[in-house]
Amino acid sequence: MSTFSRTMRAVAIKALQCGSIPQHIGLIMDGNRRYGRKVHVGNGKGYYLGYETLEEILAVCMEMGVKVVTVYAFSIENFKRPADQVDTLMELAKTKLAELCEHSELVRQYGIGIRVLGDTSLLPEDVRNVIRKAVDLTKKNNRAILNMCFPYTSREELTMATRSLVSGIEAHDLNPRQVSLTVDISTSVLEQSLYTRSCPPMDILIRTSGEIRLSDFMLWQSSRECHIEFVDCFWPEFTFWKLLPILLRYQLRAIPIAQSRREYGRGEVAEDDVEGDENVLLSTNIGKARQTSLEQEQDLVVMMSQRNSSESTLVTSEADGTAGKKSPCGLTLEKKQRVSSFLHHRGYLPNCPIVHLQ
Amino acid sequence: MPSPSPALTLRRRGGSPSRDTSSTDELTLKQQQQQQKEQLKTSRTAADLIADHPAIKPVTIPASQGTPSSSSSSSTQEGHPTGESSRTTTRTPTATTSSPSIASRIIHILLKPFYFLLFALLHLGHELVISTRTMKTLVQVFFLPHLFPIAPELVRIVRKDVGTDLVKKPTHLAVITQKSGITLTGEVDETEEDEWHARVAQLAQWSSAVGIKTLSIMRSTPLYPEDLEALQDRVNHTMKDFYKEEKRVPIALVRTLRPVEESLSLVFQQNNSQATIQRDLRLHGGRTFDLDIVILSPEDGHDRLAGNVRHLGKAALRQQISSEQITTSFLDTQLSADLTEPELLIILKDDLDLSNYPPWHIRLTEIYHHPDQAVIPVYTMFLQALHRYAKCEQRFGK
Repeated sequence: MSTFSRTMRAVAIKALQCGSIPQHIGLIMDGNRRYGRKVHVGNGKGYYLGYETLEEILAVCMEMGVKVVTVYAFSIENFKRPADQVDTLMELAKTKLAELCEHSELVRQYGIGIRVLGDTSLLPEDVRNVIRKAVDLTKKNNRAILNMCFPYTSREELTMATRSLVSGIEAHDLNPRQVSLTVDISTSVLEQSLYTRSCPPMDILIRTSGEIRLSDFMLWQSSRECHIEFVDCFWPEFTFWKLLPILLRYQLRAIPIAQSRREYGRGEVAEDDVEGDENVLLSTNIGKARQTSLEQEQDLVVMMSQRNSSESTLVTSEADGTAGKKSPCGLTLEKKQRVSSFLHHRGYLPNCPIVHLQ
Repeated sequence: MPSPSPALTLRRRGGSPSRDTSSTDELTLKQQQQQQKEQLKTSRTAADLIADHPAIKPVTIPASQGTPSSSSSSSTQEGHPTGESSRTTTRTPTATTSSPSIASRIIHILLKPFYFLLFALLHLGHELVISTRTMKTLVQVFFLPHLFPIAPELVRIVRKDVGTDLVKKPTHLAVITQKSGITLTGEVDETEEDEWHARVAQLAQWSSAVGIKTLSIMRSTPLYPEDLEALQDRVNHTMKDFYKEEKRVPIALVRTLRPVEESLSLVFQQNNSQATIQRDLRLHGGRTFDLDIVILSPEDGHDRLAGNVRHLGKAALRQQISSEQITTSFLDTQLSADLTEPELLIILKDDLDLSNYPPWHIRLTEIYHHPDQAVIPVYTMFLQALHRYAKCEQRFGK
């Protein structure tokens, strides 16, 4: 890339930073093979070209200040492809992951932690070893995250999360019933059991190659307040200049998106004023050290009160009966500890270590 | 280079501390007169101030040039000026590398308005592109009134417009509507709610004409049960009107999703007898229906999946299932019992997002969204989406 276009890009990025920058971008890198065929270099070379594009887009995103980039590298459905193509992809993933975690200037400069999302038990042994090494080496990086979905489908992710939560219930780590006003298995707990547990909500989802499907990618994450874009070009043709209008459109929507996310939180807190007050009291007692955990807890309270609205009859009957004595906030704390210990032990995902992003 | 910077620091420090000490002296004098208790304190603080004061330190700093860490740690109270000056004095050889950072910072600050201007220009340009596209669509729509009538009232017209060249048609069409029926103040807006009902009735007409079996409509607020009945009446009425030229009027059923726990029991039933679940779905109250209209609300998205986990957990505690039994196909039969996967999703909103449509079901759904919602009639979008779907090619991962 010439110096001129590099400078232009840097200037454009600086200009974009005057507006809001997305926290989490998802990319469906579709059209590598078709591009390879189009420029007559074959399927395999298409993948390599696609990887180069990924590196470039990743660098741009990091320069802008995007915290998480999630890419769809390989779907579980892709195992249906001819064996030589699958082998090429495995080989590519192996070399590039090793390269990324050991000698990548980009990873070092921006402190990127690499995560591999998906059912890695389907992969050959050597690829799994490389993945484990890459994740382990970059485990401590907490400034940005690169999520490689490999081999991933969203349904597998949701099934995995459901299964692990149910196994937690079977082992009596978690309680499926509603005790007083708290409930262990809330929407946010399910969200925390997914592979993207330590990532902020997804802001933009981009699919290249002109297809208008999600193809089993990030169904949960993209389902609410996520700007989706279908771009009509093959992935290796995707450049910063094609990303630019998408970012501009996102910036126009950023304020309504943030507002509706806030309302989603606030609307349900307002339903239950008592608990809100108790939370404030709690935060003053415990002090600033637990501020972050409290925020999460408030999040859980939100989910709970929302359940109240749907199953109000259940709440009143149970609240009168069993656990009327204990204060709800104490129960919330207890439950919060239960959930977090579950997430760190039984529900732990080795390829997606929990990290608090800076 | 080394000599001017210590001199500078000395001069800078020589200026301010003397003033400071005199002011503290005045302070202590005043307080001595006022109270004896505080006298001790203030004298101590004054002494501390003098001891801590950098006015004494400049003598030691040039001596401890070799150890910049100690000087910086001792002068932490003074903050940045000391730290910076000591750094410049100690790292004179690397001064060439540290000065560009300041220069670049200044340049960056100077460039800030420029960047902001560029930011505004980018958005302006983008806005222009969008308006041009909207104008183009407007012109297109204006010149296509005969192909796409704005308000098709009869099934014959819709069938003609759709044509017979569609290679494939969706059996389940999903629509995301923007009209919430609730204003910002939280009150139910009657006219908007009425518009929404009219839109649903219209979509039901068109879908049945095309031969769609299931129509799921996403709304941004839950629908009240009494409104559901009103909607059913309205749909029945419009269907009669729509098919007045034909002998048989198709029957449409409006419903919302059943509670999650029922879908779980359906799966257990299915284990016993396979066919009952299918018959249950097709038969409702003893009569068959041609179009199944499902009204969805945001609670049917993430929260429904979480609720499902809770009910599975309860079933697991009752020993009805074990966690090993939960596979993708198990969840699929369970979640698809009430709502099938839509093949085509039309978004009738300005912005493209999925508005909490049940995430499990939109895996392979074709998502159609026209960016110029304001100028294009819904009917045109409906037809375009069908044509877009007909020519799409799904490879299912291959």
